[in-house]
Amino acid sequence: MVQDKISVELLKSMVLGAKQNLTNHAEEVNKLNVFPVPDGDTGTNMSLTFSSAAQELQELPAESVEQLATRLGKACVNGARGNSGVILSQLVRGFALGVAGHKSLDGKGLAKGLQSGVVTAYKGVMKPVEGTILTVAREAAAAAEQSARQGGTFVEVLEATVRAGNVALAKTTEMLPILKQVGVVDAGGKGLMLLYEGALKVLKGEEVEELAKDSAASAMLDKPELTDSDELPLNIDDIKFAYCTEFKVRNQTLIETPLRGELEAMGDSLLVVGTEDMTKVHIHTNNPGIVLDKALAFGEIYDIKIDNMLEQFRRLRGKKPDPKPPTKPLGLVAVASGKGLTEILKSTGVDVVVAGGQTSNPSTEEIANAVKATPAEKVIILPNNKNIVMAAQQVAQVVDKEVVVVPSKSIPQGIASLLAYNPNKSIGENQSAMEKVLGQVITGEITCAVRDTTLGDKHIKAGDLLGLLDGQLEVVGSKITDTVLELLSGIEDIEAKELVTLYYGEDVSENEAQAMVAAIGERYSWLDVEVYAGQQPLYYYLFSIE
Amino acid sequence: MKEIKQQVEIITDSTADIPEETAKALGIHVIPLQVIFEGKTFRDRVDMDLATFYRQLKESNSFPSTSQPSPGDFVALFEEIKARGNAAIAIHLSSGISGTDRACALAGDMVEAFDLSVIDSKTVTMPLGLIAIEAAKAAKAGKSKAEVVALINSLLDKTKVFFMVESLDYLYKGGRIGGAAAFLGGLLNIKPILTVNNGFVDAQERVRGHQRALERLVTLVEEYAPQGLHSVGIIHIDKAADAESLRNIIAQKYPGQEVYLNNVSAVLGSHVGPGALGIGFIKV
Repeated sequence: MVQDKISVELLKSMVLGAKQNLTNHAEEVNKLNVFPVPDGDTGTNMSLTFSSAAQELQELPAESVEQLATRLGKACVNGARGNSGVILSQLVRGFALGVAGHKSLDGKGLAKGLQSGVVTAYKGVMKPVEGTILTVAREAAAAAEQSARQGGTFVEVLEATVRAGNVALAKTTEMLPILKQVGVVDAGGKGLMLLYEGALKVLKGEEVEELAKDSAASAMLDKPELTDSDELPLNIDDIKFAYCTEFKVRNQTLIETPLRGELEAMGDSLLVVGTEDMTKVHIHTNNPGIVLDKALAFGEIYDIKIDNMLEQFRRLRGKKPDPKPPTKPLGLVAVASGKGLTEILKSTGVDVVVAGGQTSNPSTEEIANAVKATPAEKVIILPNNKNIVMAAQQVAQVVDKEVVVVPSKSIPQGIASLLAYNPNKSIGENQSAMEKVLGQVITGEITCAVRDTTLGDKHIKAGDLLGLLDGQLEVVGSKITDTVLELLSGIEDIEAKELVTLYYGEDVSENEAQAMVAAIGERYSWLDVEVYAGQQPLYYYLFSIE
Repeated sequence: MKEIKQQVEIITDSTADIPEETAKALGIHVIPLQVIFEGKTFRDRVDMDLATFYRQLKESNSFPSTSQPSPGDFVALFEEIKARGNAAIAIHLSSGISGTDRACALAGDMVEAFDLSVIDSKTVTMPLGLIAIEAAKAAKAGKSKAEVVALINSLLDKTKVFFMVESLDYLYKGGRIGGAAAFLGGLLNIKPILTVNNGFVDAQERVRGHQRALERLVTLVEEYAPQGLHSVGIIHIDKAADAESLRNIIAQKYPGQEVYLNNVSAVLGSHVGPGALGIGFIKV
């Protein structure tokens, strides 16, 4: 009988291969997003979700498949960004539940895990939509189960999974009208298939090359003070060698082996990688001076960076939002990008504002940290973006406090619901009062298309202005003022509306905003127009009309 | 021998905002509280006309302070009523906002053999005035003191006021902001709608835009009085046009209903600021 048990080690490699495959093709997945808007990239979100989790796996050894999967699931839930990221995290979490008790995995175990993932994911979504990642996951898992029942080996089961998944993915184009209109498959489904395919590649002995930078790592590189935080352990006492030392050597011949020999005893986490004329060195040591001296014997040294990790630890761990003791029964957390919008929300009663981040979609963990930093017993969360609602709803799974999500899909909706908030009332009363007003404002958004696409009868080129009303693309234009006015003209019964509130973004000057106000006032004289500097990125204007 | 039935006279204070003619017609005694502004003390509605006061308030940088009526004013009135052989019921603004009702009771103790009942209305402005009006009507109709007291007590739970302010600063500085403190601040043009709960100012909700705030005042009244209104009045500071339009809307919605309208007292005005506007009512 073929030895068919997959070891933890192999599973770990498969996870890393899956991660790399998704990261390599994240841009491709982004392009499948129907609306060519600058944020909410499914590919990047899913890649960040999975990468942050896979990162953790590399650092902590796992003894069993169950332990590996559980760790991966927990990390995915925390790192989940965007709706697809959240569903992915539930698939992984469910997988972990399904392989409970397994030290290694065979075909049957794999099918059980996949099936459990599907059940968990469906449970987590209030209104599951077919033609999305859920459909692909479900049909893939069904095929896995069938293969396992027929006695399939691990490889055979995974192959069946990938085959059926891709068939289901191709069908999504027909299942959702919006996908059909643009002629693409579902982005979330594609992301999932990339993960499965990456895992299969590794299983078959193929390598998944690093074609694209790990977005999690590169995101971290953008924040200099956090570059080494992934090297910091949880306990300051675990730092045996305090100085993270990195440098390059300008050598004349290959020096890797002798240099490594010199440095091996100086500390740990030693990395020496080089060519005939350059060698890169990384080491954690207590004597950086001696390390540099030793390297000097091999050639000039440059790009030298020495960090005291003890100091970093004190600074960074201190910076992590400490859970605050509650001083009041109820608090508010909201998501926003833009200094002005953040100030407005804070001044209107929000305790902690979470920044949107690279894709404008913060992770479950980031929102959870904000909830922990809110000095209240119970917290209401306003996601202010339809792609953040699910990540916010997942927060309840990772914090002890009672949290409730009021599913605001835009900043204007969030602000409207803030006005219905009364800290003297209960969390339940507030939830209904706040949800009730969400539909009372119409949200307008003006941004730039990030790629060419065709939506129905609209041909869009990258750089075109896009005007959206309540998330629906209504106008494609070339001048901001005209686009805003055209967008307003499409509003039914605008004569009955009273108030327009404009939030101008960081790319719009105050003068331009005032000119916009005047233009609106000229055409719609009965409307009150209020204007505020939101300083949000990517969106020239956000507005509400009520 | 003609038996002279003891009459009951009704006493309230200047914060009740009863229109002057109505108070006179019903014989309601209005005791003035006091305002201390820019070094001078004056009796509310007596020593300075409201238009002048509010104009000065807007132009000034300082906030006025307020205080209870002087005991002497109470005693003088009690002696008069006693001389007529009558008893009195005094209904005053919430004890949570002012010590007036206690000052009244203390003054009552200083007058021998004077039959006085003091009631804490737990509210202020038009609702207080409306209760005093109902009490006075009953007294005029010959009801006994016990009956009028019972009537007043039955109405206390049915009163409500909703009002909006231009700025929460006055409430904050005057220390009466109560639950409305939750609405402090905000960079947006938000109109806070406030109310009185359990004798204290409290937050009701927030609205964007002046027009929507006016509309919301009306719908709040409708929501709180689904069975209809017993009596209703509009009060304002410096908002005559809006007050008039609110009065018309209420009159339309409740045909046949008398809708009182008055300026807010200087005492309350010092705490809510110019631009305040509200609707007070007793519901059915």
